[in-house]
Amino acid sequence: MKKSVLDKRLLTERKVVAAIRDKMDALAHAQFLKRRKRPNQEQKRSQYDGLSKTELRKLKKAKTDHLKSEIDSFLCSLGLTPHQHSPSIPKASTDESMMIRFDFDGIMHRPRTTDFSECYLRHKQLNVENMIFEDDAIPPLFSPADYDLNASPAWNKMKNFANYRQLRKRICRQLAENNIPPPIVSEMNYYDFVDIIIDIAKKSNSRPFEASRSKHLKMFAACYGQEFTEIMTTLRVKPQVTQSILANMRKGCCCELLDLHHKTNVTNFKELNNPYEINNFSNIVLTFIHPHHRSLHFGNGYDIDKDIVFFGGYDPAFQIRRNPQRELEYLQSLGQGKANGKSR
Amino acid sequence: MENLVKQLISLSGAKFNPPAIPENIIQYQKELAQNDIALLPTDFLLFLHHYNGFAYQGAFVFGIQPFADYFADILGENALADIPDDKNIVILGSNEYDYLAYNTDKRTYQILDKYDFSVLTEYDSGADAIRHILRLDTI
Repeated sequence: MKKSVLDKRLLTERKVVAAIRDKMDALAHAQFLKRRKRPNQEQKRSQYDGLSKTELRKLKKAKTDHLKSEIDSFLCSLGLTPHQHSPSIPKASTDESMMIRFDFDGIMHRPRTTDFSECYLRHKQLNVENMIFEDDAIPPLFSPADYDLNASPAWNKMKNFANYRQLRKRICRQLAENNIPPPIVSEMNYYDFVDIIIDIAKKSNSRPFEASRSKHLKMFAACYGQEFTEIMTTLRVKPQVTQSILANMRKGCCCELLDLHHKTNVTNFKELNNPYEINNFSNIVLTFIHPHHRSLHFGNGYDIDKDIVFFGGYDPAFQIRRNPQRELEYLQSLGQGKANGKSR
Repeated sequence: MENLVKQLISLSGAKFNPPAIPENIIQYQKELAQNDIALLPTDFLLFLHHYNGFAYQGAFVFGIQPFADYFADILGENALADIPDDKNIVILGSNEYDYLAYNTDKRTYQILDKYDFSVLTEYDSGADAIRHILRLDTI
């Protein structure tokens, strides 16, 4: 595309971004602005003074509804589609939501005592008194081979994620070390497994797995770094900033301006043909935070083209489309075949 | 909270807004009350004394009328979040899929699903709740 044409489109893009920001700001202030105290209240009385609380509430609602519909029309005119959730498809349960987040972010949150299953908690507490002894002071009661994780409905969900699947042997070893009786496994819930994974991480003093987020950022930098640089140049981003963003991505980190977005919302992961592909690269798009990412989450959320991998603007000139061949080659270069690539 | 502040200082790539001024905090609490939004909890006020808005890798802790556009304002974000009418809740932060909220009725910090506002987990400590929303380990 000619530079002059791109520059023209950039101008329009900037106007669109400014308009969305303005409308969102207006909505953020519409409900409250009139209730903020002014420095000199005597001289500047608001036109809303004297209205009852109910009248004021009605007025606020009318204003916000109007602004929301304006933002909605605007986003629709830019090619975004409001997400329609079918009530027949169940939403993610709390443990499913947490499971997806843990796989994606790799962040460990110690479960609350009330989250554990009763039998796991009982045995966990029974073992507390053994913790003062050296590792080899008490002969192990069970061997890792005694554990059949497939007996647990929670594990049967977790094993759909490659990150958890690769921990199977280590989980069995840790269960044996913690003296958890094998029959308990069938009753273990997601949080019990998280507790075991945290023990594994503490013991090895390292993260139990590389988060999907980190893997995806590295993959994006490797597969789409060139196109990303070109778009950022068109957007007039300083070259050193773009290079620093890419350098961070190669380390699996995001910068403060961009974030990854799930095209199919985590809460609605059962809408996917294979729900456990929710954290796969194919369901992820890199986007600017404000207003792009925020607009994708506005209201009930908006759907974008499934083939987009970088949403750098509402204009397709600032977007990158997926190249599955390039992604496959990248995965192969990491020693991962098609089968493994699918589960990333 | 002091430990959290020390931890946040060491985060590379994090962005933060200067501390909030005590008088502004008092005034802001009044505005929250006037707008039927729950008041800010004590340990979150301590956080504001260090950072009036914090951002790390796409996750945010909101501030009170922060100077820079980049940091979000608690009142404004509560309006945008469009949470079903609940006077006991104030939203204090967000990441891609969650809100950090404080529930004055239960006196706990809650991590709410952004899409359906279901409670995913709760924390007694503001520091751990902030760690959760900023995607930092809480172990």
